[in-house]
Amino acid sequence: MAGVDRLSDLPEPILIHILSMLPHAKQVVQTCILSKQWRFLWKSVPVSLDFEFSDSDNVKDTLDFMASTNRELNYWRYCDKIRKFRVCLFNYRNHYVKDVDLWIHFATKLANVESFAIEFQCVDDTYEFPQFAFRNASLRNLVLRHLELNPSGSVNWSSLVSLSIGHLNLTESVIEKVLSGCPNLERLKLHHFWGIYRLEISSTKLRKLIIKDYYNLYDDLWLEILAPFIQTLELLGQCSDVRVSRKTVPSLVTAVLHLDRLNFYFDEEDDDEVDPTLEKQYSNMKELLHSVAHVENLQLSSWCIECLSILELKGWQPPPSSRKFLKLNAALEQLDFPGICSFLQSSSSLKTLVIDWNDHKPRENNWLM
Amino acid sequence: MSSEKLLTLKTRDGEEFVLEEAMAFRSLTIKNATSNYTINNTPLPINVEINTMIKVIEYWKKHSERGISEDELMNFDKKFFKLLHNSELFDLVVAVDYLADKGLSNAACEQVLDKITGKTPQEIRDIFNINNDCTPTSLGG
Repeated sequence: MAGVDRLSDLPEPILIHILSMLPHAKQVVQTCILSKQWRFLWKSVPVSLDFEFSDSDNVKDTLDFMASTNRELNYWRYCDKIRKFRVCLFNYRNHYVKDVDLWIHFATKLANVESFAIEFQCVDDTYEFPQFAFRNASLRNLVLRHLELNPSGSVNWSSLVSLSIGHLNLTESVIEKVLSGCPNLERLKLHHFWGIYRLEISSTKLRKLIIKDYYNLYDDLWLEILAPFIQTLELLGQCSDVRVSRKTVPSLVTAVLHLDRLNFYFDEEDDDEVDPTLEKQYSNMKELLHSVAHVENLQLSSWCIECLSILELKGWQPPPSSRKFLKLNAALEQLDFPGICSFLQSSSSLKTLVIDWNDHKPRENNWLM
Repeated sequence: MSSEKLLTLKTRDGEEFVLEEAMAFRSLTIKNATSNYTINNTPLPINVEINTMIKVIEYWKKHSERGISEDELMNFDKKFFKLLHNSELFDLVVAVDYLADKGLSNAACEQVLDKITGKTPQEIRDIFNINNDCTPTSLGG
């Protein structure tokens, strides 16, 4: 029948459910002008807001973007339920401090969002996470990238379940404050960080730890992880100086070692140059493989597999392991086979072997020299 | 399988029909209604009209088929919804919400969603015959 408006007659919960699936939150607000009946419905629709301006470093364009975001926030403050709020800028400069403070205030004090992410791709100046935001009862997920954390008092993120912080200098006291203030934390990710040499996790709820790219400033120090209750550990990227042992992670069930070789910048002039850190990396890898022998599920990256071959050539025998699941994330080459065979021999309880051939990059074979 | 339990249902417009219990229980509403229900010949009344129920059963039948592949199901769904007029789609949305079948409910709502996504307010009004009774002052809020 032409002329009948069936959409507006749908029961409100159904309409709200449909609108909540709209990919762009702005469209949700636009429904307020469809007709008088639609004036206030948008406020009941749970939305996720994502403001990203990460392609350009132009200050004027960034300021324009921030102004337009702030205009939008003026009406979003009337929305009953903002599930997620994310802001991502290319660069942080002191120019932007008031706006960033405003966004954090909006997310944590006005809108009481469940998920909040604030990310800078790079920073010309330093932004310190504001003190008022260290206390919040609604946040369940928090992502901070390239912000400094310096809580002067205690931290209280009582509902936080997942935390990801990266690109910052940490201290053991800051991490301790944060962990004490997150009694319900289940997942912690630290990436591109430095400044700590001991990470102690005593919460029984925190079961998953992800560490990516740990920058060690001192040759004779390393990052020791003491986490008796964690069940999943992921070490990604450059983590050569991260140490665990069977004693320090006794409850570990799954270990994902997606490690890369440490970057070393060869002098193009010097053909005979050898990476001086290589021996230490092989030795660290050997220790790491020992320390995860008790883990049921193991994943290895192509760099780990390369190391297996080197270590095998050096006469290393992998310790016997009761692991049940092994995933190799690399296109295997003939040179890998001796190392893998010896590793498999030590995995007599293995039930599942997965080989993910996705990584087709030809490997540098400098170690052959 | 001759021992499939059967259920007799009666639609809002008085039509009676028989359905395998297992299939009918895709609707939580029907399932809950029969939980305290002694098996006799009284048909269970449901607040859906026969035309819409026929469509629901067509969907349930296809999605209950043994050995059907994901691809075949996707193709079926595409065709199934394509053939619906807007008014039939809305009947379905309301009926499935009442019947409480989450899978079909989401699928039907997504169809409505697809008609709204990316459209300007005027385009939406045109598609759904929404009467624009907003005056400039009433937009101030």
